[in-house]
Amino acid sequence: MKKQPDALYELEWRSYRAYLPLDAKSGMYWAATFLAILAAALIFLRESVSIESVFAFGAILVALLSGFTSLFQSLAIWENGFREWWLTFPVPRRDLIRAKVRAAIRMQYYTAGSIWIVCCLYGLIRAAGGEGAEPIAADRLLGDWIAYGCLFAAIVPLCTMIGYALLGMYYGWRRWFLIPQFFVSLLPIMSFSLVSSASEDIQRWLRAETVFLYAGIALALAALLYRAVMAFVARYGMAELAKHRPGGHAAGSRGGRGTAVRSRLRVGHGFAALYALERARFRHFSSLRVVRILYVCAAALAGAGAYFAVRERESGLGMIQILLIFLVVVPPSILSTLTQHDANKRRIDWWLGLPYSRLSLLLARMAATWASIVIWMGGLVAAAAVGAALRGGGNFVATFDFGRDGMLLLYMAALYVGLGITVSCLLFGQSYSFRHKLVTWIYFPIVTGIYFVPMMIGKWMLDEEAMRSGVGMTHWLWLAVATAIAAPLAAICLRLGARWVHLYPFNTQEAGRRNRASRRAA
Amino acid sequence: MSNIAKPTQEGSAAKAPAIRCRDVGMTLKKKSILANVTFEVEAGSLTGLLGPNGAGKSTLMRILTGLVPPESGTVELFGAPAGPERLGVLSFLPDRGQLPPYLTAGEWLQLAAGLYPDWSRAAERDLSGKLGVDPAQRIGAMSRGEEARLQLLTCLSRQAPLTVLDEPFTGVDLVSRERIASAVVGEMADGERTFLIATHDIREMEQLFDRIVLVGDGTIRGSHLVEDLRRSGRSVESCYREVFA
Repeated sequence: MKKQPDALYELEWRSYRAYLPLDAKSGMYWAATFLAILAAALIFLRESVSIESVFAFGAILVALLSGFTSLFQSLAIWENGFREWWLTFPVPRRDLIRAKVRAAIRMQYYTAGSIWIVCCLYGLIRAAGGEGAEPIAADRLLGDWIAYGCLFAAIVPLCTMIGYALLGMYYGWRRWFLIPQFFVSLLPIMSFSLVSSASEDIQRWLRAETVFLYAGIALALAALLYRAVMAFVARYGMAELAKHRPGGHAAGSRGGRGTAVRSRLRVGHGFAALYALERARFRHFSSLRVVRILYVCAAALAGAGAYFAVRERESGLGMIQILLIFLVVVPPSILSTLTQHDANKRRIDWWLGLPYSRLSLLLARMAATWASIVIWMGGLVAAAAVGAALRGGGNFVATFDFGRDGMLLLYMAALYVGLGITVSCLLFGQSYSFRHKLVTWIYFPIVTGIYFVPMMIGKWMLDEEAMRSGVGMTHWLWLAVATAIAAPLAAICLRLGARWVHLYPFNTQEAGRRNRASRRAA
Repeated sequence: MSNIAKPTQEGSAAKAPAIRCRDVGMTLKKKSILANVTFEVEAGSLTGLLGPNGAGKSTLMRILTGLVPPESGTVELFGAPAGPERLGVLSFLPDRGQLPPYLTAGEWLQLAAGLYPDWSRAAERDLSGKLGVDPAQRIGAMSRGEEARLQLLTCLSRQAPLTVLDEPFTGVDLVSRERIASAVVGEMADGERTFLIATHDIREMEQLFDRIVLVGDGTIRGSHLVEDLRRSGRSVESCYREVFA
């Protein structure tokens, strides 16, 4: 068997190369993205957060990008049309996966390097501005640059390997490994509030000398994990990849025969049938064993979090707020990718060919997505309520003022649900960008901005003071003004989405690849 | 559901051609896909839309069915402009399209009966047997041939007067091809339905076509009655070779 690791690596690297700033246009995208992150950091993080906390945010971002990108790669490979070609290359299975991992790590180093530069610039601007209670010494800044640079470098392979471990966990008893992987993947997100704390104890853990230690530990773990994951994936994942057939998970575990969904399928006529069709997708997804395991883990996490965190009114309301934030982020994220996914999978022609107005198609999709998320969130809220009741439920009820806090809860629900629906409608209008490329420049910030929405709400619509003393007339007035602006905008975007949704079949991943290839050839 | 036409033909519309396509043009990413496409398909006929890969057949099919509006020109179905609001009068099988893989065939057909106002349970039962569709099988686990047969079953279980099939034989085995072709013949028996079929499998369908429309490089390269071709001693295949070889 002749080894060709370099050719393999080159093949894998080619799939990432297109995303690098190698020409003026993509260079502009990269610069614009990272300048936007720098500007957002300077606006939102200037007053209350230390430079070390900002570097720690950067480390979390690197961990999330490395981890989730490799997770998505590990998921996408099962349905990739090139998979069978790839598996028939006459090289050891370990070389196949090694080339893939090395290319992914290299790509993530470019991203991590850019984030590190943004953090360094942020520190430099803060130091030059001379803000804060104490001046920022040059040696402290330099120490942070080097220490966090080392940490970023160690996090990339560590998180990439955690993500690629998923390749071996698709079938059989190995699916139980999903539980620890799920918790480990959530660790960076959960660390956000911890590293933003101004507490002296926490800040001590973020200083350069301690961070060097973290970097060393992370690097050692990455080296160990690299060997372990390679062996694990080569042993189990590659064999399962060869056996897998696209849509295999959709086929279920009963040899592709099933009646489970049918018994729950209530089909009406017209819009009700359209809604049932969309809901069937989420019903099937939540019936998968892997998803059930992860959902039980998430419910356990919500219950445990409430048990330990909810003592009285403030912490209880804080927990509810965290759960409500999901309504702003999750449904719009799903809706913005669902239609594109259907187009990539060649299912969209059937959907567009249904004898219904395009607006009905979009509304049914939105209703089914929201209903599914609300049902799933309901389960998590119930788990959190049980957790809170077991420990501090009595204190929470005793300190809860039904007039003031009831109004606050109502305001929070109106704010987050209203915002979630508005963002969902705004994102439907994205199909108009297929018609006019300039529109992409409006939608790119909206899509990336979704994840900053909770921060913006905390700053402008529901600050800490409102969470402490309740909301007044001013809050409701601002909400009414925001609704008056957002509702027509949402309606326009929904109409635009319905008008141009037929352009999705011409803008699939396959069409994009063909266009890029013909541009290169030209 | 609003403004979706019911599958009935009334008054003068019944006499109009099933499809009338005039000067249709389409450009995508500055590349001309279709230019000045003009042809008609008579009601009750079976027309073949033939052409090599990349000729623009699938884009033309999407325009004819009203899924995509043309950039120039007009398309009429039974005398009224094509568009999403006319999807009730036609039944479309997309090229390499896929049904939701997470449903069983039975679940999909159950949903389809609710989704399509012109669904016929009797036709569904009849065709399920003829096409050999197992209602308990999950779509994601089906072979290409099985899924192609289920998709055709979905199209033919409707009472829409126009059926448009885009490459119904792609990746389909011999037995499935025969089943699909015989199902189409069976549906043609009443002479009320109109079929437009884009295919590469000329030999399979040659005996069924009333008319062929040849598309190449985004333009119409010819339109012939098959009977006229036969009278002149030519076959569909030889005509195709003359134009595209």
